[in-house]
Amino acid sequence: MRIGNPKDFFGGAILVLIAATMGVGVVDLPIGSASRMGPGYFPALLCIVLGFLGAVIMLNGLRHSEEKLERTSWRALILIVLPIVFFGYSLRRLGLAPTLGITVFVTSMASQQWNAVQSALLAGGVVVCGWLIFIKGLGLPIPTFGPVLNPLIDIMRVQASAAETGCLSCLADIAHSYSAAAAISSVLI
Amino acid sequence: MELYANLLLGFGEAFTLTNLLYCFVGVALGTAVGVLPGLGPIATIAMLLPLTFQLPATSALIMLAGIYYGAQYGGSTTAILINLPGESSSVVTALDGYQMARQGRAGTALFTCAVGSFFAGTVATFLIAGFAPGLAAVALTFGPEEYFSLMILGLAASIALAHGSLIKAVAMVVLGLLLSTIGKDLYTGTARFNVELVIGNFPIIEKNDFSDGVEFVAIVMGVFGMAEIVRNLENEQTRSVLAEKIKSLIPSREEARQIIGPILRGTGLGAVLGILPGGGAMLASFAAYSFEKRISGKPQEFGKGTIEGVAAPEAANNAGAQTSFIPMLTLGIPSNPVMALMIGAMIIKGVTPGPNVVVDQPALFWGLIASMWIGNVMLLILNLPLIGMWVRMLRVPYRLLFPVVVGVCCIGVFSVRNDLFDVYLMAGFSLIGYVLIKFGFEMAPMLLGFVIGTMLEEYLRRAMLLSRGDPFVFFQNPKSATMLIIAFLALAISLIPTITKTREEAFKE
Repeated sequence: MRIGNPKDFFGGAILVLIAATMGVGVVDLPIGSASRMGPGYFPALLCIVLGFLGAVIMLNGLRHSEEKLERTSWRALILIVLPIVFFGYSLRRLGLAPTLGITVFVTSMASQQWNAVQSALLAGGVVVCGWLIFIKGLGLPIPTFGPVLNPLIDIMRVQASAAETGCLSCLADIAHSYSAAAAISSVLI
Repeated sequence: MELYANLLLGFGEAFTLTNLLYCFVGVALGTAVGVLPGLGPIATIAMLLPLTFQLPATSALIMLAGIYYGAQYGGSTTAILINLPGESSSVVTALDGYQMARQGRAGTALFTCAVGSFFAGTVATFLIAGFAPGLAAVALTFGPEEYFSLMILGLAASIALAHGSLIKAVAMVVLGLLLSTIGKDLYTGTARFNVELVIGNFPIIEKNDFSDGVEFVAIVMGVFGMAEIVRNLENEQTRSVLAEKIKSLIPSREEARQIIGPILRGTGLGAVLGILPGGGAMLASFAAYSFEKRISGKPQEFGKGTIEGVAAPEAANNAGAQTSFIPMLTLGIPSNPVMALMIGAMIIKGVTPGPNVVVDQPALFWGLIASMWIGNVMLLILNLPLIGMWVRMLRVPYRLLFPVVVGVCCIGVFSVRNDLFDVYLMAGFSLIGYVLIKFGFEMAPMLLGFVIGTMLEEYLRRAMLLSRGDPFVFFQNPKSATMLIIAFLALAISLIPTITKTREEAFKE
């Protein structure tokens, strides 16, 4: 079996796959009859049609044609999709500022003309504007700096106050906070 | 007379300081987005959807609409000045417009665009004002069979006018319909496709993540925003901004005489094509250019800097952009993806799209129409004196633009339901969208199917309930039968080989 047209063949295959997957989900639902359609009727109908179309496209893909698959830019694909996933994962844990900053910075690497300094500045700018618009302006219920970073914030706070008062016993507190920082790594994973 | 009263109501609504402000923001953003290649009105509207939650429905729609027709203005600026159309509808403008710029007539070209677009916009506004209420009144008499067939007609027309393979477009519509069924069933409340996906101990899809269906904004941003960015990065090129110096803007008397005809023809063609599902600005501009070339006394001049080749498509794309609001506002059927987004925005604001909108929400309807005209005035002012500013914007490299878009989309999609799952959904759809586009599938039909799906199913079920399971009821009803026949014809005609070739040629250019 020679695949003449990979676009059609694999494209059709994906459709058949989708139809089959959703078909599995539909099987449990009551289908009912034409006059009293159950919740499963329309989805089942669509699954069948989609599967049929996918098969037709696949068959079409066996005929020879000049269409080849263009080369994929894996770099662009990965560096756009993964940062989005990262964003979803980290938003509540790290808070808006670090998450947005990292997302923007990493995703900018998808470009072949990437410039580290410009991207860093850009990320900073986006974080500031994003904070202004979404947290100050719209009042979104996300922390700017999330709970996972709290030990780090505590350290900075303690260091700042220790510097102010020149207090020696505060150093003990700092040591204590540093050990709490070890907790960050375990929470993140 | 009633038209007069309605327009008065509309202008009253549109002239409030808030709505004027949002109109301005919309058209300014639209122009900016039109100027920047790689960022289109669809992605921008999708990004701004979450922000419109805070706004009243009218203001939100005014702003979003402004982005759409504003982008038609902006796209022509770069098409003429640096041969880089910012918008798909400006591709034809670049053909003659850039040549005019190279001959030192850039100013005239830009002026022609602005004036042509403004005229077309005004005419289109009046068309909407005149026809929409009548159309809505007719639609209000429709029963479920007619509605169902009307939607099928809409889908069929958009498939017939889609790029590429017909069967793939149909498959995408079906996929969109299928995706819309995820969630609660309308009649029984049963959960459909409420799946859980846990790998090892790691939950990917949790128990009730799909209980309210797939979030519209997540799909749109993923498929139109993110997937588009990946595609743009695949063909990344550096843009050299060599803007030609702009001399005088005003055309000579001879030229002014030459553009009257094309503008009129372009407006007419655009107005009609914009209403057709699948139509809209791009199709209008292509058709107007081809038509103008065909009836011209000197067709060989086209492509070398004829002013008609600029005037006609520009008028057409603006007329098309505005009249494409008609099916959306009167029948609740989106004729292109942007209208699908508008419908999404309306639903989010609690306005049910359909013929009732004209009657139930006259302030919204007429306010929107009035603001379209106001927007055109603003665009006329924005585009001519401020051209230098827009061109300078082009110096922003894409590598700095797209990360911002990604970031904004991430927060944006989250803020719709305060649900992180939507962010993952967006990532998933970026992947799916990219894969499907790679295999030659168009995303616009899928979006249309998704938006229409719930309504389509509802009307199907209701019609079948009333007819007690008899599928022929769709053909026994005369209006419904007519629409289905037209739908069938539309699909059949586009399958004829000669037409197929013309389609391919038209879209290849």
